[in-house]
Amino acid sequence: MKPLTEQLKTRQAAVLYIVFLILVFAPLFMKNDFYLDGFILIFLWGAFSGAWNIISGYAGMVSLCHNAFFAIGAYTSTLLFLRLGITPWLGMFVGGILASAVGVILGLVCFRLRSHYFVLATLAFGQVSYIVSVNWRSLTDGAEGLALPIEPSFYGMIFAGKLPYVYISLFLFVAVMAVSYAIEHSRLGYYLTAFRENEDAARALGVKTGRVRLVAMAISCFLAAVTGSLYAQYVVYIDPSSVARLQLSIQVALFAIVGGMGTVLGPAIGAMIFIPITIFLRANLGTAVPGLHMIIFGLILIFVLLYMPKGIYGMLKDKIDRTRGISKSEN
Amino acid sequence: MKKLIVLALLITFVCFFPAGQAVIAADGVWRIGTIFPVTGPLSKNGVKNFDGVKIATKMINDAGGVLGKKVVLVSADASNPEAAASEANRLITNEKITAIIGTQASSLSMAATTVAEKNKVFYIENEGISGLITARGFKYIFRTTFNSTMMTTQMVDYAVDVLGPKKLNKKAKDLRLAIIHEDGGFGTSSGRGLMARAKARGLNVVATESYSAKSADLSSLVLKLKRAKPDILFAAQYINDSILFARQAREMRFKPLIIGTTAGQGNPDFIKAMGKDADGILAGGIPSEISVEGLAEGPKKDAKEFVRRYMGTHNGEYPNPTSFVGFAGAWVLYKFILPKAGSLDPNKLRAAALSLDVPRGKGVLNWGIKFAGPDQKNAGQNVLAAAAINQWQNGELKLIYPKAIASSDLK
Amino acid sequence: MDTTLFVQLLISGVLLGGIYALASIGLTFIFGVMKIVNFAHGEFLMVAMYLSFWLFHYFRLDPYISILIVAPLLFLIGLLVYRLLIKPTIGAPVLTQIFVTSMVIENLALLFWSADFRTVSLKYLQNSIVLGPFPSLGLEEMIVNPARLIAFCIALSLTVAFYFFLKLSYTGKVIRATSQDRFTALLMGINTDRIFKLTFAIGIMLTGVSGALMIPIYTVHPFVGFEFILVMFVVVVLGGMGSVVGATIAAIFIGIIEVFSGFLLGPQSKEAIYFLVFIAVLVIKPSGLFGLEREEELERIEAID
Repeated sequence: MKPLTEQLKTRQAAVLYIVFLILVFAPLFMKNDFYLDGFILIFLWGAFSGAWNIISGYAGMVSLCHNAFFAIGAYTSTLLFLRLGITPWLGMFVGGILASAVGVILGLVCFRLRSHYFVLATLAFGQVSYIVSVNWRSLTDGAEGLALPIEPSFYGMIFAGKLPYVYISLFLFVAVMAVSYAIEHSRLGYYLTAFRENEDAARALGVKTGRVRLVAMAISCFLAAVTGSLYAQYVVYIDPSSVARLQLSIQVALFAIVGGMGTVLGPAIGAMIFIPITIFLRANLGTAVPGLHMIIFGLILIFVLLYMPKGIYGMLKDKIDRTRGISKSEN
Repeated sequence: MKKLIVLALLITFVCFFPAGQAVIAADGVWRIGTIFPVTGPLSKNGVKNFDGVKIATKMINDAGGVLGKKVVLVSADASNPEAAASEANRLITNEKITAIIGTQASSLSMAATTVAEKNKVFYIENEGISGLITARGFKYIFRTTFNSTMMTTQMVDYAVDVLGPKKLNKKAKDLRLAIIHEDGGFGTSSGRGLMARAKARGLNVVATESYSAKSADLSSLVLKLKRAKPDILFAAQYINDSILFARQAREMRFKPLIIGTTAGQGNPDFIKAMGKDADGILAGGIPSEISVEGLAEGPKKDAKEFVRRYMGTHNGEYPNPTSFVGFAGAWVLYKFILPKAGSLDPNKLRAAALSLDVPRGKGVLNWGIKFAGPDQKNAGQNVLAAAAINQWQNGELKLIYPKAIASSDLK
Repeated sequence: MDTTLFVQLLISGVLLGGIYALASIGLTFIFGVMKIVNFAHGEFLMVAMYLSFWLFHYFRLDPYISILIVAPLLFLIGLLVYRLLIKPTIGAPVLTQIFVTSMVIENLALLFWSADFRTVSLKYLQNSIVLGPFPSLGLEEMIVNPARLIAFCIALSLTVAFYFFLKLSYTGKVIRATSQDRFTALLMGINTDRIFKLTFAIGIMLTGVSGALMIPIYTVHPFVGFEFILVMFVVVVLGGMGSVVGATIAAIFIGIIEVFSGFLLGPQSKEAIYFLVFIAVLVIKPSGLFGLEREEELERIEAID
């Protein structure tokens, strides 16, 4: 692992810094609410995708139930606010802890399963969560959903303009990436990689693979739930179909895979590229020919998946490494 | 590197693809936004509703527009709630829209109307019936159609006051009632409404069940209901589960009197699947026939014109109820609200809407137009929109209630 | 609960299982041999249902006869999809492009066929088959749905046919060899690419059969594939990925669970129940009821990739 200073000197880092500065300062100058909305969506989805990446990319345990954790976050903070008057600033953390607990239990039960089986078990769990959120009407009001007040209040984490949301979600987005970076360069990260590459060898070397993965799961679920809470605060209306449906998990998985699984920037790149595409496609082709924008979007994704198996970031990284004469690093 | 270039080109091309809709200068026309699910699982009805809106637009434009200016629709697709919110933002911010018609489905409506209210943009909900839409005290959201409480109250009252006594010779309090509903927003709010009305009237509900509209099998539901021996079954279902249920109920010899809703049993496709077995089944909600009985001259002409145009663009098919109610929402805006407001300023539109007091028969279809005021619990709700009761008779869906516009009687 | 009710629920559950089996046999076959989870399987089922519908709608062709057209068509589609989408990345653990493909297929269906629900009503299937009453057994009348019964019988026949095909025929042996050890099969001179192509195409062809059998029972719309895919996964994994017999038995098991829990606990949670049962079985016996692969074998194959 190269010292941080050396890393900072590379061109890569410079690009990153510039992008970061743009992200932080551009919104201040944008008067157009629509673009601000786009930024918020990118940051929220990027954060969610990054959270997913921690357990699925780094630890290699691909999960299709992150919609459940997102929903736990959204519902917990919303219910605490609506029923008990507790501020979402706090409720968000409660939701995160709850989601972590649920995730850890799921991990304890299902981590022994191997790849395909684990994915399908998470799929089943995600569906059970959706069904619970629909049927536990006394708690969640079921499919009718919960509406938060739209009157702005700092206590209620509800703002009149979009700018506060932009910065809160940006903060979360960066936080998730920072956490990913920290994990990647920590012992936890090495253990996770060891597990992912060769489970038995890792175990033989004394890596506590179970514990290590549970930690990753807890972190991943916590962050996913916090993102869910933030989402609820932004759209001020949640129901099972908006926060708990399967497509959410699929979407974040796609962003991370297409951007580059198991990397810090992969999910971010995935979100940054594909959310604008979705929005633009829908805006331009939406009602003209039904379904066309989804077809085109799908075709672009297929193209990327077929020809860039390591994701966009993965490919970029290989390119850069190669030109610098460094051997291809394993992802 | 080549792959990356190709990808970048693809993305750029796609993002700047010539827009499907040209942005016309705002001066000479009224630019009104629409948000409907024309793709995705909700698109079946989304497209039909949008068709109704488009016909209304063409009709008003052919008659010279509103106050001499034509209406141009700036339309958006929303297949899920997030898209609804996002598109609402886009219409408001990029397209500078100040009046929107939408959204067909309650979950989409909740998302879009929240954005509209936040931005003080005038919004007409033309089909979503969830009570929540107008229960938030919002100032700019107006619903032209009935809400689930109005519909379910109508259904329960008709069932126990007319249906039960006439067909079973039983009084209201002697009737055994069962309620089933799909577990989505529509079903849940309908189910809640039915329960509430039944409870308020002290009626005997022997079974209440909910299920997923995507179920592959409803035999367990049928058998469970059969055991409870209800006289009348209330069903808030969508078309495919209503067909599945009806088929399995028929198989298992479960034959209560059924009163469903427009979305399910009242859908024209119901007869295609059920044939003769549909006869006798009732459906509450949107009137199945555009009855012109009892309407004033103007609305009568409009109704006939709508039917004519619909049949023209849909191969002679009689208008789908969803298209009806879509048309109605747009028509209220074009014929009543906009002319009075004289501009697309949301505050003027709002004032105009709140000032309307059009009696039944002089509005759209057999509805009057009177929106609940801001001091009332369901601000923005058109209290003169009446749900109707329809019945399948000899392969046709006939309107049997309210009497004033009914084309047939209960059989 | 009286006996009649019990037996009636049992009948409904078994027949429902027949439907699930029909939908899942192709999926488990593909997984068993190629080790890939075909997320788009439900979409092919949807396409098959639509094709049967259109043949009925335009040509009055009975769906049971249309199998002769729809199945081969889907076989060809399977070949095409394999060549374009699967072959380039075979060996990768998760073929995400299949996922995206399902989205594309759904929207193509929406584009061409619109979102309307389509049904087929066959006159000769309108009357249910009535069993009994059997007073000696204490049973009153029981109902059997003819369309579901036909689907069930065909599902069983297919299962049996598959079993013998794989066990006794030369191609079957070659397929089994490839599924057990891809690398060694290659060394033995088997053209694994051709086997994969054949397997995938057969798997998709089976959805052709299923679709034609299901259209008299279910309505079809562009998103119906998604409604079935989840239970298909449950059935496939429960039965042991790769085991056709296992999938059929698991399907019947799930059908029975769904109907009984729907009756006893309420229809709102019946799907949740079988998902929970699914997780429970996985945790206790990950390779499913009849898993062809034991843990070590699974591992060996992955290591070689």
